[in-house]
Amino acid sequence: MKDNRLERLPLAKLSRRRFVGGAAALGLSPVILAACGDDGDGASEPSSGEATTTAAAPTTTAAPSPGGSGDMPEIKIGYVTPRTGPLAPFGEADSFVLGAMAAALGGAVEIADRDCESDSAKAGQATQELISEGAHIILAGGTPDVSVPVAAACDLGEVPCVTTIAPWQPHYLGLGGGLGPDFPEPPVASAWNFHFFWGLEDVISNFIELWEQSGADKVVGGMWPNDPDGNAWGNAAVGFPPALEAAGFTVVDVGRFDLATQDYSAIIGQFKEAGVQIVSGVVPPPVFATFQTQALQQDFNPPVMTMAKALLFPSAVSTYPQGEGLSTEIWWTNRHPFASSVTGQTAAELAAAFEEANGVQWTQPLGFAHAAFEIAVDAARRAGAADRGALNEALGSTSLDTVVGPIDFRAGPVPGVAKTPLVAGQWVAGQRYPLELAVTVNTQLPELAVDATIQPMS
Amino acid sequence: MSVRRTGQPAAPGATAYRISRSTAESKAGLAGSALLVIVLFTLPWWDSDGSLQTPLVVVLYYLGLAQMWNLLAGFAGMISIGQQMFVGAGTYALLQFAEAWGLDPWLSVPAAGLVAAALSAPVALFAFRLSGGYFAIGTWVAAEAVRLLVTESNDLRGGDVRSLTRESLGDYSLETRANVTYWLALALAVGGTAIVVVVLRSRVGLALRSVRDSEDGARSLGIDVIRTKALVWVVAAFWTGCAGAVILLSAPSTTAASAFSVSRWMALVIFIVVIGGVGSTTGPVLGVLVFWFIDEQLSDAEAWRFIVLGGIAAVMAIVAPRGLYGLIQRWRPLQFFPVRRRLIGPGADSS
Repeated sequence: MKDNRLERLPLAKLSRRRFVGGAAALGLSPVILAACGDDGDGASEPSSGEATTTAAAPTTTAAPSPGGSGDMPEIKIGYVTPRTGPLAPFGEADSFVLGAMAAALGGAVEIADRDCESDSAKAGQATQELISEGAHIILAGGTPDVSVPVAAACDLGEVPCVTTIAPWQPHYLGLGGGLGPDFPEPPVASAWNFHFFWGLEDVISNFIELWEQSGADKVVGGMWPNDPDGNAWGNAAVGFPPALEAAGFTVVDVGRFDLATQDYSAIIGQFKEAGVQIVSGVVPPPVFATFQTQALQQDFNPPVMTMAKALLFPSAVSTYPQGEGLSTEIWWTNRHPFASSVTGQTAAELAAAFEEANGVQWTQPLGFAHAAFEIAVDAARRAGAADRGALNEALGSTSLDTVVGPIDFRAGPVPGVAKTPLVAGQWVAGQRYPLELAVTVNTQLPELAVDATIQPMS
Repeated sequence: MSVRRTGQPAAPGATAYRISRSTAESKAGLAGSALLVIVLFTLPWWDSDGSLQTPLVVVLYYLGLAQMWNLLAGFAGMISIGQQMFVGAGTYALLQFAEAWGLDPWLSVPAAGLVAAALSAPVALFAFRLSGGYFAIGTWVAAEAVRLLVTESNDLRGGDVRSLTRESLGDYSLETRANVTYWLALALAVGGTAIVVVVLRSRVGLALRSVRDSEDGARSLGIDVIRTKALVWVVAAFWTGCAGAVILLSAPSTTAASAFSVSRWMALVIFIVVIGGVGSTTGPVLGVLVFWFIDEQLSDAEAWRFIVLGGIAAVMAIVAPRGLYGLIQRWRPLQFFPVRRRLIGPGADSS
């Protein structure tokens, strides 16, 4: 894990919040159980790490489950996400989603979850353990640092695997896929992996639209680090630099810097000298916190800061020196016009249930973590058997309307990949919470209303 | 276990003082260990679903790492905080040998150890000039430098996730891969413990402990301090490098940040040795069992896990600086692995 200081500092801060969140979820579960007239059988933990969560309640308060559980085989689902370390915000909705899924699916599904500690090797190891424990299908997500090792271990272990929350190019390429003129026909990266998310082309077009809307000078400072995301986003062929230059932007690329860096003076100096008006990149939340603190100290305050990964989560954005006005890509909101195929909840209802249970603002991974389970459940119903091969085959022909939109693994840009729509927006002072996400670009999802036009940061 | 005597052989039947390493418990300990190793070796045949085998791989490679750090810090006084550089070197050597060059993955494991051993030589050149806390920091800096080189290298691509794939492992069945990886991890643990016992029973072991206690004193007795330290440093690097390769076989993916992680390959290893008992061969075994138990219990505690582990280590350091093994010894001076010489007087009926 990069640098000790980098990891420990935010970790200590996050732990308390996450612990409270977990406690809140624990407090809620007796309500669900009591509602079903089945309480106190020890299954009142919505999530448990090594131990498995066996669902106690046959139905939930939310909605009737379409399809019923009659034709649902008893399967064991493994789940790997980062819940501690710099990527912890990606796992913030996990305890809620796992609890809700266990409640909604009843005894048909056993869920075993693992924290990968934001570490790629640990993610692979956790996957091996889940495979040896007999998981029929493994779900994972939270940057390519997690999705790639989980998918690689599943490929070797011949276990079906659904991954998300990682742009599809770094995931697909990291898993051994190929793009470009050498590959007229994109190869199958892994016959056992199915990935759903958006891609670099989507985030590039969203960011460009956002920046043109802002009216800022077209000088972009790029912070693409030396990690799986940064290497793809900053790539000279498929990444941001060529696309931005083609769209008339000047790119100041600081190179693939090491994420353990604690001193950003050199980067800030380079940006100031080049007259950068727009700062962009893809960095984990703790790195952005350090960068913004130093930028403000050194009097560098560009009108637009559009950072991927770091600016997605209310829990992270609220800890930055200046959160208001930061802009980001948006994969999912509580206004998305979609509903869950498992619980029937709309995006708004799902987000509200999360807010009520955890006492904190909804967060984007909620929708995608929920959708990953939807896909697994749909495949299990169609496979009709707790068999890895049959489940894998069923996953391959998935065509399902989920809470994050329609998922079709047969259509994707490359084999085994399905795309979801991407929009963009800005953090503004909110009514219910100090900062709320306003949608300012909705080209890929016109059904989602635009809330505002992007405003320059003061 | 034959009793080794030193000094004048006693006349037959005479009552004499003699020096012995083995004790009743050490004989029982060795017999018990042998039995345990046999049970563990045959595990793939009776743990058919592999639900015990997979987590045991982790426990076993951690024991191998812990024994090596214990050899350096506990017996040679070389408190290195840079062993993760050898783990990472082994990991990336295996990736290169097996995945990029297509060599046999199992034979690549000792080869990866040799790469780590080769790396340890230039590091020793400057680190050995430092002592105590400076040595610790120097080794850490060296490890960070190696991590950065791997991260920046265009061939090794340490910034990306890299995995062992069917390309390198496809010739072997799922079961073979799981079993050989497990046996390699078992070999790391058993071999690591054996290395420590053998080194300590040799003349080098005696020299090591004198170097640990006082380098100047050792030098004045005619001990080649640098040679003695270099020997264990290289041996530990080799074994740690092999462990790095096995770690990759068990995980199958890595990044430079993972492979050179100071928290996973150094902090946890130090925890294991400190909890178990630094400077004893049994300590790391106890430590790894405690670590396994606590880790299982706390798996759901998220970030609190690290706080609890750190708290336990801090309390142990104050209450029981010699670890669990030290606590046991306070109660009874048991010695399961015979590495210490004891004086046995006339009339003693031991062995």
